[in-house]
Amino acid sequence: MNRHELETLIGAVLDEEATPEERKRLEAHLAEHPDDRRLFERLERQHLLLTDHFDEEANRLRRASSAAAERAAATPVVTHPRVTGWPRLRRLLPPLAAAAVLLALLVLALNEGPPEAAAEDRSISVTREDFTVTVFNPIAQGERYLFMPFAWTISDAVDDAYRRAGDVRRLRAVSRSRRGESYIRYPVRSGKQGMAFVRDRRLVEHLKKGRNTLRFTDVAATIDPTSVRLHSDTDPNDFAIVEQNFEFDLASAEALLTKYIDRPIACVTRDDDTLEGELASFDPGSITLIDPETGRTQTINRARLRTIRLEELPENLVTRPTLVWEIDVETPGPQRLTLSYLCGDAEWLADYTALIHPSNDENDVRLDLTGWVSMTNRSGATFPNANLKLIAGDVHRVRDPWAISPKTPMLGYGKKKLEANAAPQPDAARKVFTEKRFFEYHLYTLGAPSTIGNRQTKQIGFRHAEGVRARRMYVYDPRLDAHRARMTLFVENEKDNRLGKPMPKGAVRFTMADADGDALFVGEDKIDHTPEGEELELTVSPSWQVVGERTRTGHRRVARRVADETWRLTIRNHKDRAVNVRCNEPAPGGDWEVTRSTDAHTAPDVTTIRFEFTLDAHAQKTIEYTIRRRW
Amino acid sequence: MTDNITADPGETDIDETPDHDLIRRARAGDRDALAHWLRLALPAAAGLVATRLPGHRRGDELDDIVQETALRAVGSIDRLRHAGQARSWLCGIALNVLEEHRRREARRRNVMQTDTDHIERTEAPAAAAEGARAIDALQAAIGELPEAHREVLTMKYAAGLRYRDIAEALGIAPDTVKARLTEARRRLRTRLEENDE
Repeated sequence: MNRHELETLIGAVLDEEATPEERKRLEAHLAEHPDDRRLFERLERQHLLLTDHFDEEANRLRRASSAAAERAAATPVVTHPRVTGWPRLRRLLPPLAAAAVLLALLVLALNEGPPEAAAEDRSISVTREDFTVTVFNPIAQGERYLFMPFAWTISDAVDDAYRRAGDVRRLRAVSRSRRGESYIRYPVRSGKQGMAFVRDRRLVEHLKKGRNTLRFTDVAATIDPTSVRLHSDTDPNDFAIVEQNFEFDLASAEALLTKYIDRPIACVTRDDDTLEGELASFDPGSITLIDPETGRTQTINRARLRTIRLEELPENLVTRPTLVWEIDVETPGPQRLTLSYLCGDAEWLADYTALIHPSNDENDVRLDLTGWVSMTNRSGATFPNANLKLIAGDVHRVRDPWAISPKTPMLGYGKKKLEANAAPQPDAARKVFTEKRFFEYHLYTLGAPSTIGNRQTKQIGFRHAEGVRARRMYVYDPRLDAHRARMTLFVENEKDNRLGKPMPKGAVRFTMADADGDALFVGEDKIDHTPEGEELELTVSPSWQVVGERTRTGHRRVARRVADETWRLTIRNHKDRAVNVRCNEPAPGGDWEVTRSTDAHTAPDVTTIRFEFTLDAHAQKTIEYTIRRRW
Repeated sequence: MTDNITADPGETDIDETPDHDLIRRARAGDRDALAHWLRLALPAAAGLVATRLPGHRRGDELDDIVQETALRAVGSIDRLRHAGQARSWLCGIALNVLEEHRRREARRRNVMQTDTDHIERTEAPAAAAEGARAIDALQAAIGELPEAHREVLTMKYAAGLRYRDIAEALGIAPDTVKARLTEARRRLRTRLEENDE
């Protein structure tokens, strides 16, 4: 393999475009040529750096494409009569004839092949049959860590990318010891934890009687090894797992060097000097060699080195995280196996777009609400033609993300229910989500399989409702904005309001048509998981035409630890029409009462005094109240 | 001792509902299908346009061009002959829109005779890289790549497309995409190593 072929092959592997045979070829090549491993690592670092570099651009392209698709799709499609009948058939004849000839040649070629070739191959073959990927909403857990042992490799590569990018703030990888092993505590960007439950069904053929070794390499890089479960669907009684291993000792330069501590190595500098000795220690910046005869040590700056030569590749190093089982079967032949595990770095979020219809009626504003599911997979694995399920709800996790027992009730015992929900739906051919209640959550199942690529965000529409009724109010809350009221829409999540379905949490983006009919972005808000029957409160934007101010006009100490405060609240409406206003006045909390007020009020919670009224066009309203507080 | 082989199902996966099915439904008036297809196909066109726009102009201009591309595609989707080539057709529209946009911009600048044009021409990536930090060096190295290499890099990393989708969008073979990516990465590596030294 020449260098160009090698670089192309490495590129295809990093891009996850390589076939299994190509991957095996690369692994074999790297095993035979340790020097080329350095090239692999350099290309891997560059790949990460490029991915990071284009991250912002990727978001921009996604936003531009998504917005353009949405708007263009609202434009009517003009249909024209199509060419059919004989003229169309005549146009199709030449390609049809060519295809027939090719097919005939292909059949001939296949018939000439050695028929015994397939029969002679008796090694174990593993074929993926289907996937089910259940993705969870990200869970806020403060800073988020990967506690994966092999995250050493991931973090090294990422840190290196950040270091090259000059961003030292990200270099916060801290090692720690847990259960006697060395783990990495690597903070990742988001403060939220995403995860997925993967069920991977495979057909394993040519199992022989007795002990067999199974290796699955195509698993997520962020797998939680303690959640891995493998069982046979064909004959569970004739399938015994003797041993299960998760091999994560990746053949990186650091892993190789660790195996060579106290063993002889040779370092070749950029000036072609060869320095030999036993490896005493190493870090990312330097290597220390010790001369076994004289005991002298020398520390070499790694930037000076071109090559590090090792005697041989240590055993038990793999190029990708691999699950390995030793299994025992009584009856030789094929078995269908189901592998299930939890992995990190997969998450989904709902996004909503709301087109506000222009209206002067404060109590009847109409919206067109569209919901999109955005699913992001950075787990390190691609799931081809997977059945996709999304769980809406915040899953309770009590320990660190990777310390889950495989018998966690929701996933272990809930599995049967998951399978029951996977039964073919009437509209299974369409890529739409069906929604069902599941335990304390809501489960959304995609109607048709979909490939979930690594480092891919997939967006699928899941809800559309037109003419949803909303109530408009201007909410003045001095804790959020001391001068301006915020235009807020209140939407009943009810069936008679064209909704009446649970709404997963996510961002809502508002657009509104201007005088030319162009939809313009007017604001953004977030909603939490909202069940049917609840009211959504959506803040669209601050208003500079409905403004307010509050002044303390009096303070009197009534007794020891009792005081009266008088506040004056003024709201002005500069609009040409009357508006509904809600004032959320801050109360001191604890023990208080309103002893005097010019207007009726309510107290929705212990920290809020609420006034609601309608304010005419270009009018002003003043409210004065006295609050007595005890402490 | 048993030999072990781990096998994949191969490259038979279909990412989404095939283009021709979505386009057929879009022509029949299914707006969801139309929006879905546009969401799938537009990133390639957007990536292609982004490659050809200078970095500091990629904000609103990119949005406008992508928007115009989508609108034109919707207006003429019925005239698309081969649904199998829909993505390269869309990229063609995007390039046409970009060309018209450039001509319009050039006319506007000629009339106004402002210094903007001068600034844009002189702010070459190579010049900007001098004395800049590593991230700028990468940006500069990407800027120095030939357009054919830059566009596959952008489509791969920014648009997140697979080889076959890039090939389809650009009307070239997947192996050509692979070769261009390899060459682009090699040039970038060489350039960055030169900077390090």
